Amino acid sequence: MRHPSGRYWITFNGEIYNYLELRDELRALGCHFADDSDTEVLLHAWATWGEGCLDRLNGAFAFAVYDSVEGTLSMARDRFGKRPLFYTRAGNRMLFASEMKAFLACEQVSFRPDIEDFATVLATWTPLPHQTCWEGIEALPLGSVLRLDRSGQQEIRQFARPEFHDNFCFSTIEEAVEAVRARVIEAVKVRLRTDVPVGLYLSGGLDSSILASIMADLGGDGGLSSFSITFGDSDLDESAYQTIVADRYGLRHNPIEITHDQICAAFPDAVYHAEVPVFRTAFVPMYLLSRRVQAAGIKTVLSGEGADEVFLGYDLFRETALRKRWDSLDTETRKDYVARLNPFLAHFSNARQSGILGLYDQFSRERMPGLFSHEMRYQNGNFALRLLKDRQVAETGFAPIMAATSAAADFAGLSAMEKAQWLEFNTLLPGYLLSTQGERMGLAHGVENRCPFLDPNVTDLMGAVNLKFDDGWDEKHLLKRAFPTLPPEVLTRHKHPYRAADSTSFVEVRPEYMELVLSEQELDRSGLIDTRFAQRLMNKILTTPADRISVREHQAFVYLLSFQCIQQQFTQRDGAYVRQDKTVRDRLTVAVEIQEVA
Amino acid sequence: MDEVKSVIATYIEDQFLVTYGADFQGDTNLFEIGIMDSYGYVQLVEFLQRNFDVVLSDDEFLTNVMGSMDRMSDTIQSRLSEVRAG
Repeated sequence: MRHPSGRYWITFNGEIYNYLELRDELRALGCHFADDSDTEVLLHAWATWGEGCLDRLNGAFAFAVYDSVEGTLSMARDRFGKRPLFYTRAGNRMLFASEMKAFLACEQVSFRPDIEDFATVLATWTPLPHQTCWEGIEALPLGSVLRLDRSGQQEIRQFARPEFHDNFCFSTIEEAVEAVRARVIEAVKVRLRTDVPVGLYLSGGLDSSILASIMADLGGDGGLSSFSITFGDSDLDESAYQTIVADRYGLRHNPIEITHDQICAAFPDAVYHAEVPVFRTAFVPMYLLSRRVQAAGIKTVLSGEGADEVFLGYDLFRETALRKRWDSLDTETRKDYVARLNPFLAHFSNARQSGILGLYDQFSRERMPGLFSHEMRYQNGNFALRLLKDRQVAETGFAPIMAATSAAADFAGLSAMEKAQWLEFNTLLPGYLLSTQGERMGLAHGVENRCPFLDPNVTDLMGAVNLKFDDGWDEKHLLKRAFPTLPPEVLTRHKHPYRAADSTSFVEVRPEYMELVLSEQELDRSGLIDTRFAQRLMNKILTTPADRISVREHQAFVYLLSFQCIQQQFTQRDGAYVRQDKTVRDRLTVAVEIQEVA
Repeated sequence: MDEVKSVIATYIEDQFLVTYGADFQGDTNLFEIGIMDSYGYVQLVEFLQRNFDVVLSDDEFLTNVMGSMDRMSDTIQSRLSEVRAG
């Protein structure tokens, strides 16, 4: 879209939820609007305030603006990394797109795996905000703006980062609870500003149930459609809770049961949309779910993503608090706390007998600078790093994340809990939950996810409500108090992490493409994999009963299989993915924008 | 290598996909070099207690019993001696 002055041109992927308020402000400043789109509002906002407009935007966005007077290109991404933006250079051109597969349309771009990025993924589950796992292709980090000048020089500035300051100083818990309630409801409202029906991803957990209750209260034509995943595996299935919530709020409920066969059948396509190696298979059912949403004629869904990071929902946060206080607690108190952690994991349930105190004792002191909160999780990374042939790269797999924390403004001054949140906001949330498991699976079928809990007006509350009125051991306590009329089964259940069967599906179904991880020749094709270790891993996966395979062995398997798949699809430019998928090709070729660098 | 140590070494090799002598030694802290994970730890604790028919106390676990193969072996050996002397 071109600005009326002719000076600015914009290409925009995303939604600006507060565009009506911004339009009023801009009108008061003399701007005229030709249509009713948020794109036009964004363009005028940029023309009026320049980069200063970024602080005013409430939305999920990636956009680029070309200034024809200055000859500069500016690109920006929203603060939580909802919408992706990738760029690379080919000769004297800067290429950028919302999906890396767009670059497959450019023969000058070769997809060579970036071994150091891959090591970060193996170590920490996800790429860092700037990483892509492909040499020479960069991701614009979340909350950042890139400016490319006439001479081809580029500069990146971060305009937003997680803030943990208490900007409210609530004097009572009731005040804090009311603020949470009002802001979450408002965040839902602005995300329902659309002419088309909005659906809901209903997991059966607290967060999506809150969204169900708010959406049901707000009403709407034709009722609310909810979409859920169910599993035959009782350890993974949450359908009982989904049904309770759907019945309570009169939802038009659409559950789909995901089988091992379906996971195996969809895995290569889902990985193609993920574009990076992946550590678990839970994104595959989300790919199939978005297809169901699309079939129902719905293009937008609300999702509870973000609430666990903002309001300390994960057990990781309580585990961090416990390990931090470990040395000051007596044995009995330690046992009580350990038993309250992870009750859904069978091997933690008999904490009093299993000697598990010794495990926590090993992790009560920081070994990896800045990463204290995540050290138990990152133990699994050490195992996955053994997939790499280059031992030197493997041994420095955690260096980039440690460098990122030491370079981050104010990180050193954060509490242990805030550091844990910071790490989640910069790794798992943008690098997997919002991208691989979120937008990339949704947009593969033209379905857009909206996340009210990541509204800046909600996240601004973090520093004012977390651990101010409770000790954090009742997960998301204030959020529960803000919505007390939810079904009691939902309010009192322990958080159930959403997962899918990992290596178990593949061992059972044995899809043809398993050859990619079974054949020594295939394993050695990239030259990056330690084929001896990979074969040892595969032998264990294939010959050991599923309940004796550890989490990290499942993860190493999914990493290996997804890495091998994307090598075939991207590096080798497998014809099935590059030439035959006409719908995707047409869409992505349009998405490629080429900017001449003078 | 005595029998107790040999049994533990074989279990660690199978459970953690490592090789004694190459990836770890008797005195290697298995946590520090990233061999031991939480699931493997719990499985190993269960294995040691079941296989050697000993029960270790919570306080013993807080003295780094599981830190290295040598420490596991020493603890089991001393417990077995107590039983024999018993």
